[in-house]
Amino acid sequence: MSYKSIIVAGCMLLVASGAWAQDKPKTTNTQLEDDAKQANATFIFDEAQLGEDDDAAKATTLVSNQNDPYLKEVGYTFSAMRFKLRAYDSQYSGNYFNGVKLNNIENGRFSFSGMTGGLNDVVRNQEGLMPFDRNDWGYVTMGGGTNTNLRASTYRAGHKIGLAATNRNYILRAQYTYASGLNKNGWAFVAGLAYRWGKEGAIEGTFYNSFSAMFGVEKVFNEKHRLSLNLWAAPTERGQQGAATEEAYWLANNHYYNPYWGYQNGKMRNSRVVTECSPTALMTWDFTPNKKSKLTTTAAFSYVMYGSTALSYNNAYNPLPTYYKNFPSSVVNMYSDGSGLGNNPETWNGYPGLMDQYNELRAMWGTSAGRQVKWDDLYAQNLANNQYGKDALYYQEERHNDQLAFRLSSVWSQDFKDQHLNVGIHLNTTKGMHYKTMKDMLGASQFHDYDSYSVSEYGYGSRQVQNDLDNPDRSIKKGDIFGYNYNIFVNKAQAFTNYSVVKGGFAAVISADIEGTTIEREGLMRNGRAADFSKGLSGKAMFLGGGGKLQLSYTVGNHRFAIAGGYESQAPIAYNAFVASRIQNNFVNNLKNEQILTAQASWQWRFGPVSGKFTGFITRNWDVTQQSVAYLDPIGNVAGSDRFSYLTMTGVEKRFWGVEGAVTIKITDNLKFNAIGTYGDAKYHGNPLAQLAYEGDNPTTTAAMNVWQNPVNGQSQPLRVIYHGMRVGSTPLTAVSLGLDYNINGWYFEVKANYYDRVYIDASPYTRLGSVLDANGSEAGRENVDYFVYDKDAVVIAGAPSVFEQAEAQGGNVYEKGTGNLLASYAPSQEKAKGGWMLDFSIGHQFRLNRGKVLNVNLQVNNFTNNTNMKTGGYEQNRTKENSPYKFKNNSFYWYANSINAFLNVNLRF
Amino acid sequence: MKKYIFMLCASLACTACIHNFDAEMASAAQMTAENVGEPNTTIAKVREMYKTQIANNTNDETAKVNDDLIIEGIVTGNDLSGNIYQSIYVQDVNNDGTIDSDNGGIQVCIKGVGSLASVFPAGQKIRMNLKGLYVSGYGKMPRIGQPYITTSSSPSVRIGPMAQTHLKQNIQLVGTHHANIVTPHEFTSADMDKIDKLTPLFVVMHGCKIKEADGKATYAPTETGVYSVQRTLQLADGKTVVMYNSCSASFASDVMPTGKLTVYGIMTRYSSTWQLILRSVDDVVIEK
Repeated sequence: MSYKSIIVAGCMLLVASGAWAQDKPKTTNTQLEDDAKQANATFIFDEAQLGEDDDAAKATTLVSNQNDPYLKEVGYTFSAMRFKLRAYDSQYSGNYFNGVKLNNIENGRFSFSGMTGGLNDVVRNQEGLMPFDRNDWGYVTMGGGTNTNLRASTYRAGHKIGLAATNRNYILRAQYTYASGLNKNGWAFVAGLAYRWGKEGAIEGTFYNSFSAMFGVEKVFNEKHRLSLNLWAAPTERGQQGAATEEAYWLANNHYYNPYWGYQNGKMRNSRVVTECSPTALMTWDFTPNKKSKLTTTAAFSYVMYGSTALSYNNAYNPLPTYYKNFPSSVVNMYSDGSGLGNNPETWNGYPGLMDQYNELRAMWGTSAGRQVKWDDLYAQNLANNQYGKDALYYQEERHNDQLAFRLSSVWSQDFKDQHLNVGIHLNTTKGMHYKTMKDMLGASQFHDYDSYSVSEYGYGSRQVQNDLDNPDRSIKKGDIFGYNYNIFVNKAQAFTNYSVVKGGFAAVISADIEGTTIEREGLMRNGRAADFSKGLSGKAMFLGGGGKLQLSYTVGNHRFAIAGGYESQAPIAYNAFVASRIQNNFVNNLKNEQILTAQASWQWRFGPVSGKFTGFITRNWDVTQQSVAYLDPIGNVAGSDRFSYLTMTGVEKRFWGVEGAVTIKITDNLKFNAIGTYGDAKYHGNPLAQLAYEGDNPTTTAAMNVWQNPVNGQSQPLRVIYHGMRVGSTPLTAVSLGLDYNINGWYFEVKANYYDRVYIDASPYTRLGSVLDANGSEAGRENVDYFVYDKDAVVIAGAPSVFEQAEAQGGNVYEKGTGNLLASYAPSQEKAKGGWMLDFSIGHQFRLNRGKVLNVNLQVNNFTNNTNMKTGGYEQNRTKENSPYKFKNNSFYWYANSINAFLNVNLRF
Repeated sequence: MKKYIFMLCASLACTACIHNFDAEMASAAQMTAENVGEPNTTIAKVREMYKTQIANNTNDETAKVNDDLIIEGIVTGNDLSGNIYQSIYVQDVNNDGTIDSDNGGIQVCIKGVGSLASVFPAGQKIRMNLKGLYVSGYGKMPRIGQPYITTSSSPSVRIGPMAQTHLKQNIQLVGTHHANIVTPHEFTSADMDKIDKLTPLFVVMHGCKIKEADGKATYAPTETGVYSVQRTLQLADGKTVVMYNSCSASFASDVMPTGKLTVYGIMTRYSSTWQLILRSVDDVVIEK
């Protein structure tokens, strides 16, 4: 084929992708007339101002191992449902590059889009391991790890150019990779460029604009020394999607409704835009003194720039379309018919005026402009408000989480006859910089750095209302830092070793590590609400940890049996370590190392054409510190004073267990049957201690929030979250895939049927606070949350549920009559999403062209039956305001798996 | 080789530069109706028409306006400081264009709008078509709104804030606002037998004192479970009215001034109690 026809094919692809971009699911306005977020950039999200860091709940598992039939497939196959391996948070998986761990040490996670977004082609050379295997580059904990080799000499020499069209987050991707291979002078080069773009992705209101580039060079000096250098960056700008309640999806007639955008002057404008770039430089020295030893030393330096915008408001009405007062269900309680008003809108006895309002709000939701952010109105109000000389009512802020990180790793690998020893160190020193800037004043002419939530409580003249006491009443313009500004310093030093021996069919691997971590906060603003403990250094919190692992395996014929166990004590995550990190320097109470105990047994086997692997595992993870942030109804219901709150749980315990399996049947030379699956559980155990802080930070109020008063004997008990039995959410605990694979003459076909079940919706810790469960009657309309009293002398009525059974059914605490002893606590139940099937197929062909060129064309269609009812996860609302017709506990936020989506990929290698 | 680079650049060039948004010249008028029609009645007449409903705080369909009743009025008070919540106060316009400061106007309750003050500044003339809305009373004070359910353990229906969709449907801004058109009624204790006539009304009182002002007490100190604080406003001759302060007002934590004051505000009622609501902290002027 000539160059010309390839160019034509490429251009046709571009044109086709343009056409594709228009062909996405739309809402149909003709079907009408027939029904609060959030968050701070760190963790769990909530209504009102809070948004989400889209990586948190959506992080998927990516340990992959070509030799392990389960790990080879699981991450990719189940990615549509945001599957997490063994339900572990991604912070427990290590992502290494040339032996240095590039996870973000502040939150433990690895950001794929931030670090290597788009550069799939240059990060193909990977080795994935589970925790107990022999590991020549690092020491991984329960989630395993992956090491990617970036040395320029390891890339296949030649050019590769790829074009892809899709209807997912982005529409178009172009990639170019060039590797020189090792030339006779000992030099090798590799360069990769990629561009991903989508003016509007599959989800309304989202967009994607990402460019990535990688450059690597390696020099082999002699047999003993090699030096390699890699530089890369992936500047990206993208518009995010937000979760919504089922009512919102129903009103919008679409499970892909996105509240984070609206029209401005007729054009789409997203309110949650992420701008990120993490330029990284990595240098590796490979020293091979002899055939049996190797010293691999890598240093990496990265500068992470991450900003995420959010719409904010000041003495105004929450502009988020999913604010509860915008919903028709805020007009009347849809879930109860106590009140004579019924739960069927058509029969609201004698009050058609309520029906009018319900219909008016429904009609508003029925139009695209009505259910999205009303940018034009925000500008109108700001412009009109300028006449009063007051601060902006609405504005857009950008929350930054930047980082300067330096990492060093050095591993000595020594081979003996049938033994192997690795000894290594990993060092990490990171400075995290957290602040927010004024992104867009939306037409307003002024803004000052005050905490608007504190104004009515303390007044403009007070010190508490200042975010920066050393620069009070500061006027803020676009680009200025305001609100909060602090650094987090984390330093970690780890030394590890592993020793493995193979004797006959037996093999053993013993590993151990020891690590030291320090965490410190440096406040750069003296916050008025914590004047004495916000600016300056918090002092270092130091943690010493370590652990060990052992794996024994026996290989006989086509079978391998292995059993392994390990224990680890590791430092808490820096993000969770501070009581209210935006405001003050205090560490959370009871901060300590978390503990992990994990064990697994596996059998990898082959019986002729049938092969596979079965694994069982069990893990206990305790003394964990977890923090979530939310806007809460104020304690005492002081109108309008919503509070941005932090809830830190310490002593959290989670228990995991599961079975994993992979079976491959080679039916003929061309046809294979593959099945992989897992069934397991991931549950919280016990009721962790809780510490609440809020940003108004009035010491009396904070003290009152943290008191759990025993309702029977009036004494104070330590505040806890009743969380026992809650499950880890937003990952399918049951996942099975059955597939057929056929290849012939360079063509390959694959079809998979994937079944998912037991996805749980994240349970709110706020609504399960012991004090919240007890509150009864004192707040009007508080229906069924109450405490229970067990009277051992009470007459037992046959057939009637006991007090314990009642408490278990709705959640609550059971106290002993008289003494007030807390006999039992039951967490209100957690929502489980409905399971279902999604089908994928893919078809591809490899063309061998003249002069060794290879053209690969591949089309994948995922979810081709267009199942739009699969929830990938979600979260409950944190508000407990019972005295409102809108029922927060019946209105959780959900995410849905993508509707039918396709990926057409064309690659040319030459 | 060059041709491949070109293809790559071509795909790069396909980006539209979509992410710079300039401030647009938007106006509050786009949030309200364009033209509701010529006024065919007055606030005074509407109060008369619905006086039974107002007196009985009626919450049923008899309070609903079924015809095109179009009034015109001038805004006297809004949620500027957060002391007034989800409402504006409107009074009739005289034939000469001045505000009718001798007869009580009406409260218009609206929810879902961030800053009613930005859309309806004091001195803004508006026209409203009341069709589809409800006219009733709250503590016998006239208001226009829509029914809502209170959320106590035994809920009841009241007339309260109308849904935000009614801004575009029922309310029209007429011209730009003129702040000095809002002239207050000089309120004295001689007026205190005319509670039906004179509420809600924008008033001024001279020679007042706030009884609880002691140099330290604030307008509405924050307290658990409390939404508002009632203070006692003493008129020049010693008679008192209630001063109703919301704990969410921006001035809630300001210290109340002592000594003789000139106080402006919206005089409202709760049943037989006179209740003054400040529109902002500037409504309290220390007399020299």
